[in-house]
Order: sequence, then C-alpha cells, then structure tokens
Amino acid sequence: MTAPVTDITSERSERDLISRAAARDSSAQRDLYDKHVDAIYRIAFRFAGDEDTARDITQETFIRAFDRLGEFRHESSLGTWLHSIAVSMALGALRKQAKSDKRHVPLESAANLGRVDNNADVDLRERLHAAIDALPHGYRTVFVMYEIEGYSHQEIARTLGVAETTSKGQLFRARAKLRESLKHFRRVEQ
Amino acid sequence: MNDDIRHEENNSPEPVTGSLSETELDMLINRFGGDYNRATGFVPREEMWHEIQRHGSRKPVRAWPSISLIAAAVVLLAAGIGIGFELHSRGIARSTNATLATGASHTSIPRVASTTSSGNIVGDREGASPITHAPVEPVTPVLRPPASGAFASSNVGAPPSAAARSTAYSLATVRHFTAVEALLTSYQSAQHDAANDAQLAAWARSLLSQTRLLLDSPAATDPMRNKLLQDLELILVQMTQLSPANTSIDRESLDGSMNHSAVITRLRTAVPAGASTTL
Repeated sequence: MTAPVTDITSERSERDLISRAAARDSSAQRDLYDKHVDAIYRIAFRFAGDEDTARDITQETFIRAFDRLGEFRHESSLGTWLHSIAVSMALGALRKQAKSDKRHVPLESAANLGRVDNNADVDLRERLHAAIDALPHGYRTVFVMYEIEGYSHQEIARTLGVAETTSKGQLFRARAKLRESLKHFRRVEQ
Repeated sequence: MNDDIRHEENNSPEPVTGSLSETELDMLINRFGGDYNRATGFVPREEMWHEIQRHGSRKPVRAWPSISLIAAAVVLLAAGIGIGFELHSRGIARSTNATLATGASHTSIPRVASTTSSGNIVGDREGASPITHAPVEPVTPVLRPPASGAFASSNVGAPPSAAARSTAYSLATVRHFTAVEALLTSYQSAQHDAANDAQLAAWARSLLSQTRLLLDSPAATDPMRNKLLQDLELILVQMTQLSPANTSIDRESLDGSMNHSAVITRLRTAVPAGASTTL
C-alpha cells in the first residue's frame, strides 16, 4: 500500500512546486525544469531536427510555461501541459523556418527517394526519414505526434486545436504520401 | 539488408506501379521511425536554464490583476446573473421545447419527413455530369407528428416524450444514412473528372454538416451508430476536398478510408430494408 501514498505525496509535492514556481520561486522553477527538461528537449528536437532550434524551442517553452503557470488548472499533468506548449512553440518555429527551409524536400523529389542503388538498413532508415521530412508541415506534425511520439488523436486535436477528424485525415494523407514516396521499397515474398 | 523489405532494383524487368502497403509502411515505421530526429547528444541544461533565468529576471511580477480586469469581470458577472434571472422568469426553456416540437426554428434536433423529393446534387448543372442521381438527397426534414401514436396525446406546447424523441432521432439518422449511401454509391460509379469531383464535394459538404449535427445529438449515444457517424465524418471530409488539383493519392486515401471502415456495408446494415422508399 505504499505506492498510492507515494503517488499522493509526489502529487502534492508537484502541486506545491507548481504554486511556488507560479509565484516566481526560482528554486521551485529549477526543480520543475530539471524534472521535465529532457522530455521537452527530446520532443523539440524531434520536430526541429537540429540542436539550435531544439534549444530555442525548449527555452521558449519554459519561459512561456513559467509566465502562465498561474493559469495551469491541474486538468492534465504538468508534463502534458508542457508538451502541448512545446509542440505549439515547435510549430511556430517551423513555420518561421519554412520560408527559408533548408531541410524541406519537395514531395516530387521525395518520390525519387526509393530509387537508388544497393543499400542496407542505414539507407532504408535515411530514406524513411527523408520522406518524413518531405511531408507538408501539417502532415508531418500529426505523423510524428501519432506514429512516433504515441499521442492519441484526441491529444493531438487538443494540442493543435483542431478536430479529431482533422488529425485522422492528416495522418491518413501523410501515410499515403509516405507509401507513395517509398514505393520502391517493397516486400519480397519468401 | 532488411529481412522483410528490400529495395526494388532499378533494372527490374517489371515497372513498379503500386505504392508500399500499409503493413510494409508499419514495419518501416516500427523499425526506423523511433530514430527520426532522435536527440542523441547531451541536453544543454545549464545553458538553457541561464537563458530562461535571464528572460525571467526581465519580467516584473504582477501579484494582482489590473483594476480594469476586475471591473470587467464584475460587469460580466452581473450581466450574466441578470440574463439568467430574465430567462428564468420568462420560462424560456419551456418555449424552446415548444418550438422544437413544432419544428419551426433551426435546431440540432433532427426532424423527420422530407419537405423535398428531388434527388439532385447540390450545385448540379444540366448536362454536366454523368453521376447517377440518387433518389435521396441531403434533406432539411421537418418534424410532423403523426395523428396517432407517440405524439397523439401531446399538445403543441408540451415537450415530446423521450420515446417520441428517440423515434424521431432514429428516423432522421436512418434517412441520413440513406442519403450518404447514395452519395458513396455515386462516387464509386462516377467518372473521376473535374465536374463530377466538384459536385460530389458540394454534396458531401452538405451531408457533412448533417453528420456533425447528428454526432452532437442524442442520436449518437448508440456506440455503433456513433462509430459509423465518426467514420462517415472522416470520409465526407476527405470527399469535400476532392478537386481537379488533387492527385490520385487523395482519391486513394478516400478509397482507403471507405474500404478500411467497410462503410457502405455498415450503412446498408444500419438502414432497415425498404427504409429509403418509405421515409
């Protein structure tokens, strides 16, 4: 019976930390930061693909979170709340980046991604990743959140402020485009 | 080389036509998706914390909301209470039910018995389309209480009974399912060209709003019906995006959704035999 007590204690201590952090207590903010920064940086990197942007997104996420911590209503966990801020910051950053996007590969080029010489798993991995990079931003966001980060459609809808149907539709289209652009990799029947 | 998925050789005797299957894509994602933009290096905690602190120290702490915010909240609260009292004293709730029963206003409650009988697609132009026009269209039904039965003893001012309301929802849903089935059948049998796509998209748009109304209504309390309505919503959304500019991939997505959810079969199961002609 120790586990529930531990849960309650840790929940209380997190609530306490949050309220102190909301009142600008620097050590409480640091504790929350230490607890969540790795996960936030990881998801920021997942969307950004480079360290500098991931770092900016993480910083902005915590700055915004600390500014608005007073509005946090404990309807979800703090981690979930921080994740949605991070995703929204990442999307903002990617939108800005899109104008001079170095990473974005036109879809037409992605269609040729599978058409190359002999290759191994490394090649296959790179081509899948390039094909994901080549997806339009909206499709890529939903694809990464659902297929890679394991969000549900409900969570995606809530985080991105769209209907669940939109999330499902975007995912379906993302998968269709990936299937098309990777069509040269095909199953070999034994 | 991967055991399951191989690279198609360039000099393959047979040209590659089909895209990767869903299963093959899932295998690729399972194997390599997790590596996509995976942060492998160390997390620069201290540098980021320093930046956060630097920003935080620039922002003044405001212990209380401004006077204007408080004043606005008080005014809003007072107005809300006033409106609540007013509505209560006028018995708005009762008159709303009466309106609903006579079907006189816009409401999300479905109403039964169509006011029209033509089966034209929205935005149809004469001679423009070889689409088979179905005998059922997106409808704006009106509740017409029968002379006897569930509504017989109720007067106009009284709210309909739960049973009567449930019947009305069921009838409206069946009618809607019939209309959607007609659309999907037309889609499958129509030639895929710009004119048809535009008409189908317009038709789907009108049915989409009806689907969403039903999803928000007690008609969606039945889990099976709810699931079917959700699947229809997705398919109709995809169909509204049909346009000449779209590629075959979009059409494949739509076909995939329809096949994946076996939606036509489920629609036919949900609609009782002969319902389309009797409603």
